[in-house]
Amino acid sequence: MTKNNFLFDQVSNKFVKENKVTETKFSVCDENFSLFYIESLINKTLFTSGLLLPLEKFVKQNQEQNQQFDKPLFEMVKDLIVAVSSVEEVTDENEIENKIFSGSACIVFKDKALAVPLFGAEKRSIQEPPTARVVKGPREGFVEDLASNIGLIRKRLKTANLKIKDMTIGRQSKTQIAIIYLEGIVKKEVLKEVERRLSLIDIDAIVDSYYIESFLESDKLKFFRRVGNTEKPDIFCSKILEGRVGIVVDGSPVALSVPFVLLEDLQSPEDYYTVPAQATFVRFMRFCGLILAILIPGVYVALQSFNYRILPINFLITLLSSIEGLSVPPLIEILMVLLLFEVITEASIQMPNSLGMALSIIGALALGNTAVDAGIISPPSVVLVAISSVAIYIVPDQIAETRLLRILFTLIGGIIGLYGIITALIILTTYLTSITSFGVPYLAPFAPHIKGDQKDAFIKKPLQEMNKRPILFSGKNTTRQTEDFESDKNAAEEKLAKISEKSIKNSEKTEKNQEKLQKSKNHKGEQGL
Amino acid sequence: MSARQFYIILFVMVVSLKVQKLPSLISNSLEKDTYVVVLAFLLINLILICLAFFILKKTKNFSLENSSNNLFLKTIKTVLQLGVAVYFLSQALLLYESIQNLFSHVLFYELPWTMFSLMLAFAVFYLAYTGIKNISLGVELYAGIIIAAYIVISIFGGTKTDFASVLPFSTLDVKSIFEAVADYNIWFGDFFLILCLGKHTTHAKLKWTALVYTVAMLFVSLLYIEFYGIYKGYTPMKPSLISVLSEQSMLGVNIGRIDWFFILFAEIGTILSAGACLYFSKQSLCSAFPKLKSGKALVILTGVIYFVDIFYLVDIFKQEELFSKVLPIPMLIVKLSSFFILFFVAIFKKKTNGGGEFRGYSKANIEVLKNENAFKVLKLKSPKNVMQNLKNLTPQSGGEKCEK
Repeated sequence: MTKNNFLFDQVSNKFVKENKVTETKFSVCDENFSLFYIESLINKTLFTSGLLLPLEKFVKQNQEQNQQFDKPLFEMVKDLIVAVSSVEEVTDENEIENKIFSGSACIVFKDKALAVPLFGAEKRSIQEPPTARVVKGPREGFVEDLASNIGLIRKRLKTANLKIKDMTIGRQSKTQIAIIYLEGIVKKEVLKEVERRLSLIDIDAIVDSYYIESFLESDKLKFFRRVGNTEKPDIFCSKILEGRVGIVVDGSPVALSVPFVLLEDLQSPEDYYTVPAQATFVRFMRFCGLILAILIPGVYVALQSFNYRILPINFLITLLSSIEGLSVPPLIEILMVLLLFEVITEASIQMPNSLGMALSIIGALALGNTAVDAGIISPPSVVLVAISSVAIYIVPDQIAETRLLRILFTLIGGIIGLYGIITALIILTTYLTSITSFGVPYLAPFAPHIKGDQKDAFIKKPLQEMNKRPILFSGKNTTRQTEDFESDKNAAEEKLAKISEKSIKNSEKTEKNQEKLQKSKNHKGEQGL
Repeated sequence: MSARQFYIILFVMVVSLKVQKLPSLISNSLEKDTYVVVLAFLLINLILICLAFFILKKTKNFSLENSSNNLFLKTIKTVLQLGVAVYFLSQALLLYESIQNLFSHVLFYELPWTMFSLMLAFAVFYLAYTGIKNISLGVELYAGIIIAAYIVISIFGGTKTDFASVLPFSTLDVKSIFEAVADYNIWFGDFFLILCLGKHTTHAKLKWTALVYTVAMLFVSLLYIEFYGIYKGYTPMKPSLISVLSEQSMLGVNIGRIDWFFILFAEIGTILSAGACLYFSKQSLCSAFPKLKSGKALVILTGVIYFVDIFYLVDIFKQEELFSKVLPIPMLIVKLSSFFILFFVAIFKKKTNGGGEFRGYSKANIEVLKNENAFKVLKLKSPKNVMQNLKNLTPQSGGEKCEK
């Protein structure tokens, strides 16, 4: 057997030179083996104390004594390191490659190898996600490490019913993906469909969960996203508890969940940590904000261009005086303001933080005020676009769609007026009612109206009343809590009262018995006397 | 389609078709008794709705198309389907034309409608393209806004109505009422609508349907009373009830014409109804000509509506001639002949299948003996005598004993 035919030589030739793979060679009684690992991917403490030092000690001891082994070297090394971690035997060169690049240290012998998982790459600590901050409620957020994310979920759902299916997707990236669901609660058809769609993915790399999201969408020409996402484990767990299927991707702090309905974007984590009345009010405000954000510039342009008779006469006079002298038509004016806002928004995202303040001053004062003073744009249009732009951020998950729809409705309002806006609104809602996410209507539980699921829709009912899981998502097990909390509470109180009544009666009985006993004793005593 | 969706779409379609230009047409001849025509149609349709439910029940939601396959003469089926397609096309045209008329003459007369009504045509096309289930979802979504808009408009109208000038109908001319019923029947084919909508749901109940229909028609008659109560002798000159009802109440109030928003919201129901009628028309056309593809049929029908509206129905007299002189009699024949053929098919089916409650269980009884759970099902569904018969059954006897 030539030197190059040994497995450790093959591995060495393949990876070591250009892949930053470290190779440490060992020799014991004329038998060679090598240890391969990537420094940046492993837990160095564990590696040094649990693997490298014992190996070096073993080699040193056996070189000095020069003894013959009663067991093969492979088995001896395996026995030596089995206490460190779960050790896996590998024979295939490609498998060794996978293990090394996934953070394992591989001890490669002549014809087989031992893979010791020691993954310990640098990772971000668990923090509150910037996209879902809450005043009250848990502040933990997902991180980029899959194991940590699963740990955060397991911490909240301590049940064997929580199933986690692993998948590896990406020819080059070999990204780990976990499909998470609760057995008995999940709809099996949805789970199967998720697995089917994921298994069909054949792509070079999955660098973020958004890649998976795109592949989970059934419609290529999608406008509204149909996969839910969250950075908060508490929200993720509550979605899993409703019967959804969750997908966590290694390297992404954003976990996905399906099926997804539009209503989810109107709900916020905060709603569940506050009183129902306040949550209901806030949801209503979010809905109004969404409508305002989309329609207000378009309706303004339509009213100003075509349908000014709708406005009250006093308001109309004020409006006309403020737009007097403008050289551009209303549509162009409002589009200019909208585009200006979009440019400032985009620039503020890309710009370094230190320049943010300067940009705000330039945007607000230099561009806004000067343009109004110069008679390029009017104050009402600035005010309305500002209201619309603030309202966009009231539903943060729909920002992209709202921005596009706002421009579309402004164009329609400016060209066709209110008639166009109403017709476009009907076309939009017809589109929305026609789409589904994994078989669930996108506008549910409003269209179709599902009575049971209305408890957590616009009106947020108290948790005690949410006895059932949403019909739309859950499988066989639809019961969330005891059927009727109030009646159960009453029944329990009645039971308690009966028990206490019984105990009182019993104690009375025993007292009476004792009294009788005492009397009879006394009587006997008197007779004896 | 759920029962809730069925009732909502029925209400919206019934109201939206009748509150456009129809009251001005009827009031031309009947003046203050215009609303009596609505009440007359309410009574006629209630009877026909009962029959429609009989057909739906007996034929187990047997669709119009399938029922026609049972007819011996294929040509009759084709003619009948074609007639139904034309009927629903005329309904869609009525609704489309009324929306276009309201927008182009009252609300948005500044717009060049030859071009801009293409958007309306596209909306109606898209609605029909997505199907009746989707339309019913849309109606369910907008139901609150549409119904609230109608109620607000009726309140606006009610504030200026001189009810004493309309009620009661002391000088009722019965002959004129019957003539109006014949002339304007195209607007009142609601029993036929229920027949077509009913096959898309299995949950709708007769009593609720009749109640919803009665409420809708009474509401329409209230709007007619208000319409005449406000404008009296000028009603024939007012092209749309929905737009002009609130007009008077807004005069002198310095809040602009905010009622326009309510009119627009109410018109959402009209657009959705036009989409539903176009869908039924397409279904019948595709059934008459099975080789015709659904998409193509829809493009043809939408094109017909658009071009007829833009180029033919420009003149208000032509509109009146088409809808109250040319179309009523052929459409009445189509409606009634289709309806009664379906009715006889229902009876015919009943005779051949036995139809009775015993007949339905006869085949299942064999399964009952094999399946323990099925007995529970029968126990829930069947009357006492069936249960008695079932007890006498032996494994060999099958269902025969039960039938005897």
